[in-house]
Amino acid sequence: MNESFNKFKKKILLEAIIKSVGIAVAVGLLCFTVPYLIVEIKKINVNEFFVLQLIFISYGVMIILFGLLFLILFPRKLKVAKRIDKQLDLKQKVQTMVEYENVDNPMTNYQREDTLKILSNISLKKFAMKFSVFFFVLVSIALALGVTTIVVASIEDTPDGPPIIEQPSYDLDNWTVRALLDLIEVVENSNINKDLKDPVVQNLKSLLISLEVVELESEMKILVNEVINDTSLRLDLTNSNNEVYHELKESGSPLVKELAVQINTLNVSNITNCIENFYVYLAGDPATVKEAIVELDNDFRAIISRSNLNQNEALTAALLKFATEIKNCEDASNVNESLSLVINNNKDSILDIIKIQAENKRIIEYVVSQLKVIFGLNEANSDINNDPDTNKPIINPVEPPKIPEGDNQGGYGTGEELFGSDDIMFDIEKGSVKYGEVISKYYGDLVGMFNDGTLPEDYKEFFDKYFDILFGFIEEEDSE
Amino acid sequence: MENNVSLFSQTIENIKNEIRKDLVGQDDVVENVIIAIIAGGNVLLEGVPGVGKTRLVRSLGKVLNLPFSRIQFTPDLMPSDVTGTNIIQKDENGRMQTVFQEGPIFANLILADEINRATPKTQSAMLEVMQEHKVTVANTTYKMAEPFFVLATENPIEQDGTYPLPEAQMDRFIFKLIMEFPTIEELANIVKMTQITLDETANAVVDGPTILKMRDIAKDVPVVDDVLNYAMHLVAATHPELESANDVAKKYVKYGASPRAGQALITAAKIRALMHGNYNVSYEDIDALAFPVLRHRIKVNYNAINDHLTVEDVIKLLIKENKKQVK
Repeated sequence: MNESFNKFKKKILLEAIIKSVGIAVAVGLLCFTVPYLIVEIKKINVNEFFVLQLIFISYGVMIILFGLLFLILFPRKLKVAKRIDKQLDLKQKVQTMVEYENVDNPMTNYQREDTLKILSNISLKKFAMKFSVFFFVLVSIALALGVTTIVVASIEDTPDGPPIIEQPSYDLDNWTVRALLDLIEVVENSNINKDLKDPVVQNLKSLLISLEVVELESEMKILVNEVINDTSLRLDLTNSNNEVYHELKESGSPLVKELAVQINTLNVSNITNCIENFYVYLAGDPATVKEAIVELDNDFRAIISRSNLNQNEALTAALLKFATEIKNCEDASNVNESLSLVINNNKDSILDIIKIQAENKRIIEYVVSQLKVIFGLNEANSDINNDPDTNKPIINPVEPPKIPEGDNQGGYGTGEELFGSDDIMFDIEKGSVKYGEVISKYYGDLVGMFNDGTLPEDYKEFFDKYFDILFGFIEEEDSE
Repeated sequence: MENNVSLFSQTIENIKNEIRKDLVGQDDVVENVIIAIIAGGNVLLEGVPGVGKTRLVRSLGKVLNLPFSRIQFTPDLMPSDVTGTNIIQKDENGRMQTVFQEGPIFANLILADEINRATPKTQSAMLEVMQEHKVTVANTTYKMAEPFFVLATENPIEQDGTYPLPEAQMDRFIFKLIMEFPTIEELANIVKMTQITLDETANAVVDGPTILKMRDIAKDVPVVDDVLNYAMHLVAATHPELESANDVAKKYVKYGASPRAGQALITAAKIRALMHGNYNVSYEDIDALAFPVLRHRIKVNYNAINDHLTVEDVIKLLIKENKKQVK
């Protein structure tokens, strides 16, 4: 066959390639888009492996189908001849030429020459490629589904609803670690109840560990709030003052009522006064003392006994013992003396318990307030001064706040004589120390900082005055 | 070969032109008659009186420059009137001897006019000569000169006193051609022509050997398998008794065409292809020749008559079905 025939064959070959590629790609696309859209429309949960599988299957189908179609559509000679005859209405001339290609006969030779002459005179433009409606429909459907898939996928990427605000991240810094470690040390060095101390320390340590992996500020706040809530709850479980208050406030005795109020506030000096007032209230004429004791007994011991209070709990037990012993004074030969003895004996034991609970409260409230300051949870954050260098809140490096005591009492109200220089303060290296023991060192450090230029000279006068005052107090205390 | 093929087309064109001098219109009939002559087949011409059946044959005889005989078939025509007979004749010495007296059949071109008016006995006398181109009389066989061509005519009307041709004899005709009544324009031309002269004015442009040579040339025209297969399926499709028969045949055909129809189709198609300047047979050739080849070979049944379908209508339906099934 000469070029006249081959030019048609090449065009049919191109058509076969276009058809094979078109149908293979279309079917491959359908294999991916149809299941994908079904999954998306029906909201079926699938993993990435499913999509990967779909992609592989689609490519497989595409390649196999292309191969098969190309084999089927490949333009073999006779097929090309029939196609040319049909399309150009050549009345089986080309088919005859091909079938009789190897026949050497004058008539067939003449037929061949004639056909080739006709073919050479036909422009290839007149021989158009033919694509069936099915081809266009299939390709159109595949394209439409492809576009739909892209649109659906893009809608998924930008979901409806309010835009998600990026949450602020959280990164645990050294300052926070240091502040938390200091707080833990304060708790460990405190004299609070061991049943309270251990879990609080443990909670703080766990918080420190947890914060190392926390990435969002919101998560941090949740953790810290959990610790705060748990710590506060543990204080309520450990301290019984509040429960005692609720039971005793119903008493008919003003004396017991006042005691209940003072126990609730954990004010040591007031509680001392209240206990001592028992003697003032009861002592006197032996004839009336007994009557007063009986009356008090109904409003004090009886209430405790009937209450839901755990009578093994230290404070409840101490109060019950106190009330019982007062009742026992009724039968004493010298009621007044017995009362005095009972009151003195029980006052210390009750106050010891109160002091522990007061310390519990003081430390826990300190822990909670410090946690809020450290992690910025305090609503009154604006009142907290920030360090200009670190932009972090300034943690009070001194001792935790004290429980207010009586106006005319000093120290911790234990009866011993205490001075300001005995006040406990927090030291980074030593933890809790009396400030009188370290003030000289602090002053020495400060002078050193002025000397080496770490601190500007402008502040020297201010700090000198400050330390002069402190040293002045210490001198006064020494002289006392 | 190229010269021969060119000569083929040219000769046929010359024949057509000469015949047109004596015959107005009927181009299809003329073409098919020429095909039949080259193919060596006989033709049955059907038409009302006066449409030019006899004139066509007479004109052909002149154009082909071949001896021409006309036999007017009548009910009392005897076979020997056609074939000839032995007669007793004195020789030069006065002795009596039997001599074969050739009948009118001994010519190259035979016009069997109104063939259906003869008795079956006389009609059957035509069988051997039409098929085998030879005549046997008194145990002596006489071969016809080639090319030999019988062109029979019959009148579709005036059926009283006629004898329908038997199927076997019908099958001997390669074509059955229908000569339609001329159009007004053609009719006017016929009248004008005959006002000048009633004699044929066509000239001889070909002779017997040339016809035979053209027959040989046509035999070499290639036919692709698909076309051959298509033609054979068409013939087979006329047989309602075959499993492969289509619905049209089953419904409308009483009996189908013989294998001679297949031979006739292909032989004629080759000549037709060459006549039309093609050097191979096409589906178009088969479709065009299906009507003259099949119309006298198949018989439609009562369903076709009931549905007012002619043989031509049924052939059209068969062609349509065949295209669906084979192409």
